[in-house]
Amino acid sequence: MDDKDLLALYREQGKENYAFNLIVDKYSERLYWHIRKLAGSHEDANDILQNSLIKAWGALPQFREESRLYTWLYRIATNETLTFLKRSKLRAFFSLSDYSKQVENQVEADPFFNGDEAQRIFRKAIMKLPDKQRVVFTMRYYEEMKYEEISEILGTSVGALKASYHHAFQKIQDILRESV
Amino acid sequence: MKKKFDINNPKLKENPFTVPDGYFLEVRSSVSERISTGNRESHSSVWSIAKPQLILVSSFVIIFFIVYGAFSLFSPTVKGPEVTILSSNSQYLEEGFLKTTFVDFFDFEGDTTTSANHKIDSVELITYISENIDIITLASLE
Repeated sequence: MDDKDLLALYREQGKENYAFNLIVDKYSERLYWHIRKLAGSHEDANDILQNSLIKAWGALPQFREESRLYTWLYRIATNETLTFLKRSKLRAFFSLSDYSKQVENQVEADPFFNGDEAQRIFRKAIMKLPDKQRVVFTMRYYEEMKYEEISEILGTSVGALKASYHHAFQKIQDILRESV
Repeated sequence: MKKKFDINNPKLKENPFTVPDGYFLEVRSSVSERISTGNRESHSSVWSIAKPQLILVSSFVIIFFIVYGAFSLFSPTVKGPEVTILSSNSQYLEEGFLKTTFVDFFDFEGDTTTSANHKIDSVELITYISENIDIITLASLE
């Protein structure tokens, strides 16, 4: 079922829950992997995904189809992840702990990490990027999204995204050069 | 020897993460459950994060003020009450008891205005001792 049919079903009387469950079935996995690559741990990604989907459920009556459903859901998930990361930093600040150390330990101790040593080092380097650069880098590098698509989701110009990706790429190379 | 890290290595683009078994089947039921119970996301704002620390700091501030208040209330103030007494009993000023400390209050010799009135003549003192020698001896024996 495509997005138009799903939304039409959602607007039918008494079928909101059923239609929303279909939307969750269709997009939750893709959204999860997007969030997971930004947030790091499975527990955090699970919380963010559920919060994003609940937010989407609350905002769906106002969705005017000005953008694609997938793009809209992606935007909610990305914003939710950025808010979560900001909150985590604040929490680390108030508990007087080193946030970057926390993130590094998280990568080291992740029971759901199945990569090799090179991938682990690469993940650590990505987690050291500023949040917004990490979002752009992840969407472009892992998900191979077009700049136009990323621009639609993040509401940032293509030029700014290209610059952001370039900076992120350089930074990762620098970090890797130091750590390897 | 240092190994060169190739960021364009296709292996790095592979997803290194896994999820617990059956996780994606559970997502739908978890979300449905949260929606049906109306359990919306708990809005943990900056305030909710900073709240415990702010409470701790405020309690320290309150304790400090309580201790400070108690000290300033019960510690002996030197100038305050004396000024009141002196202003309400001006005769002390005239009699020359304008003193600031307990020790000075008994230091007659140092007080030029009062020492003349309270000076005991040595002859007078010897006469008194010779007349009352028994009483003094008895007192010292006790």
